[in-house]
Amino acid sequence: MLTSLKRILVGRPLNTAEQEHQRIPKVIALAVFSSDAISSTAYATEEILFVTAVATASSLQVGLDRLIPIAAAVAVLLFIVVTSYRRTIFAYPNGGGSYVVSRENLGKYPSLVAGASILVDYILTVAVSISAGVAAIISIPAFRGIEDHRVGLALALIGLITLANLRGVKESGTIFAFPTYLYIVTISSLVLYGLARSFFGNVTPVPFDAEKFEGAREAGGALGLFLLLKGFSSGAVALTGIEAIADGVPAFRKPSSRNASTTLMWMAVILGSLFFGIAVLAHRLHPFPSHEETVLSQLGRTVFGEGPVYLVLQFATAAILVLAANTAYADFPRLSSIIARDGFLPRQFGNRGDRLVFSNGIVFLAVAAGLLIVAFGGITTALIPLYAVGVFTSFTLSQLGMVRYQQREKKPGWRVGAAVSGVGAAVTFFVLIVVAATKFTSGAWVPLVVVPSIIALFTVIRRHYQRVATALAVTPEEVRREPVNHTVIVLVGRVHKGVLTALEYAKSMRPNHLAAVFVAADDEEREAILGQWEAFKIDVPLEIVSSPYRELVGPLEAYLDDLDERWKNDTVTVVVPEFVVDRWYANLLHNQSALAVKLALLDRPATVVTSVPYQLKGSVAHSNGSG
Amino acid sequence: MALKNRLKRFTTPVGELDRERLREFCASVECAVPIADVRPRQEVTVVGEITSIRIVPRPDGSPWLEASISDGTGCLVAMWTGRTRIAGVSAGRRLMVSGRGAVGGSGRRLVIYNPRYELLA
Repeated sequence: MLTSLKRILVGRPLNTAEQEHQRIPKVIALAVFSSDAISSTAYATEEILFVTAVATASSLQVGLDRLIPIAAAVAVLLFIVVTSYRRTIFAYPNGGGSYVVSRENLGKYPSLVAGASILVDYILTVAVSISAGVAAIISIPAFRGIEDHRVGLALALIGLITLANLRGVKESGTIFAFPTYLYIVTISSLVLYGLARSFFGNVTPVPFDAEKFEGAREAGGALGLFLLLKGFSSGAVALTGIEAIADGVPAFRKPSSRNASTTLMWMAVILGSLFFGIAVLAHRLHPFPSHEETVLSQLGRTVFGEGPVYLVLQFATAAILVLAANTAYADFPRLSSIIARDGFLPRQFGNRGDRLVFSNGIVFLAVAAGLLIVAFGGITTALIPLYAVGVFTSFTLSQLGMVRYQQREKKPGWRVGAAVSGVGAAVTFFVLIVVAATKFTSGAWVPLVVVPSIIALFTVIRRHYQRVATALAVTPEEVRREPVNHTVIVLVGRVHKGVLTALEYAKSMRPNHLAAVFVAADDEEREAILGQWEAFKIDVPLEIVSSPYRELVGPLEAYLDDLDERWKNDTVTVVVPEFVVDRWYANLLHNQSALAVKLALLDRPATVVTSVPYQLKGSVAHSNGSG
Repeated sequence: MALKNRLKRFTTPVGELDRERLREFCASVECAVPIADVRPRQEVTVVGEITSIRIVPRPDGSPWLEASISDGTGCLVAMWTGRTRIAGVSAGRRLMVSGRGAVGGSGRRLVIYNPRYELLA
């Protein structure tokens, strides 16, 4: 029943051979991989204002004035990083996330730093995007009052995306392509139409409402460099998601690298122009940061009124933010599978599930992001400072790795390439310092604690796997050729069909020694089994062990010790006849001694426990009433 | 010293305590040799507890019955041919057996064939 429920929700299992068909064309890849980056336009402007705008109408203007320079700086940063990342895509067609690039070029620890940062970042991407998406929905005036259900709404959305991703990336790509393009179109029209109306003077700016204002209240007067940099570091979250394409190259149709690189360019152009456009529009229309209504919603209502176009804008915003979360769903599992293959994460992350997706990674991501949302009450702003640190750590490491790569490979034009990557690394490192310094107290310290702990965890996991590998390794000389001295014992309670089957099975192993073992608690039982043994003329020796304390496992272990001494066994197989009842609840009526024996003997060296199942279902039918 | 003994009673596993009690009991019986000292082709009398019984049925021939006897110092096998059960000879029972030791039986352990026996306790 569980299987069919899963089938309905997730779809039929896919054959391994169907994997190639899961690759996606550019138009859909743009939607799948760049919705993360593009969607950050929905909140990046607002996050800048949360930091730079101060609580009076006049100083709000100071913050707004800084918006365009900050947006320009972010756009330049975007250009630098994208230029540098195009090289990565060609150098690493099998997925060149900064984990892989730093592993290949910088060594173990830098790669672990990068890996841990990005994993954390993907989780944050889901949490931030979903809470921003929910914010877009609750901004709609018609929905006033549902903001109390922020967290519940966010969790429901996460559930939905998780499901879509468990079905597989291509199908979710098709579902998700439409909203991305809808968002790009509506935001473009918002910017163009809004600017046109503003320049022709027939639109009034957003009225200031001190009640709802949530910016920096205490800082008065002029805006210091610190706040400016802090605002910039909030705007820098627009760059999250560039990593996604570099990581996801193998998911592109062939030629993967060319397609991925083109998609990256498209994405940068769209992201840059939308972000800059919104900044300019905000500068003219004076929206203010608030937890009740997003800046984008304020702009939309001012430009379009509260009609259907505004609603399309809000829903498209929510939709693309959901898709942004989806980007992380495409890449978190893929990255964690790579890390798992290197032995730093549990192997289960490396397994493809029924639908050829890394199901365990997907489920882990969903749970982690859900916890974050609950912990931070679904407020986007609270999560943002945690976010940028990881992105810029991974950018820096990835580009440093590319400098080393190009120095080593010395392909034509490598000097230019290395210079581009070097500049990129320097710039992103600078931004990283800025983000960490300006936002340290408001949450940037969290990744500085979490990332090292994850690295410690990676190291522990790796050490375990290495220990296991060393313990299991064999040399050709160790391959054993002498015959194994094998003793088989069959555990019997009383003689029944299951026991007879188990005895036949045990004989078929042709062991050196074979015996049936009965653990007796009292004389009555002992007499009963002896009687049965004679009556059924069973030709297997029966050994009776006393159990003065009426337990099974203890005397059995003592008996096995005795057997080892008696026969110098290499292997002892304990055969346990086991009923398989046809109703699960009927198990309650049987004492699960087979299970207890298995568990107890698991630690015993050179001991095999085999259970011979005996299905009651078939036998009840033709021996009706006898049992 | 007394306290130490008392503590030991709570901390050592039950099986350990039982073995110790068995050792003491067997040592207290005069005329019995510790099993560890028994050599083949020697007429001996030993005391011990039956740890397990082994019944070897022969549908076409003569069955036999083996009892593994332990006194805490070692283990030997008492083997009775031609029968599958002897009243009183059952796992957990203490008894005294005497006869001539030989090497054989299952697992090349010390065996006394068809010994005289006396159930104890």
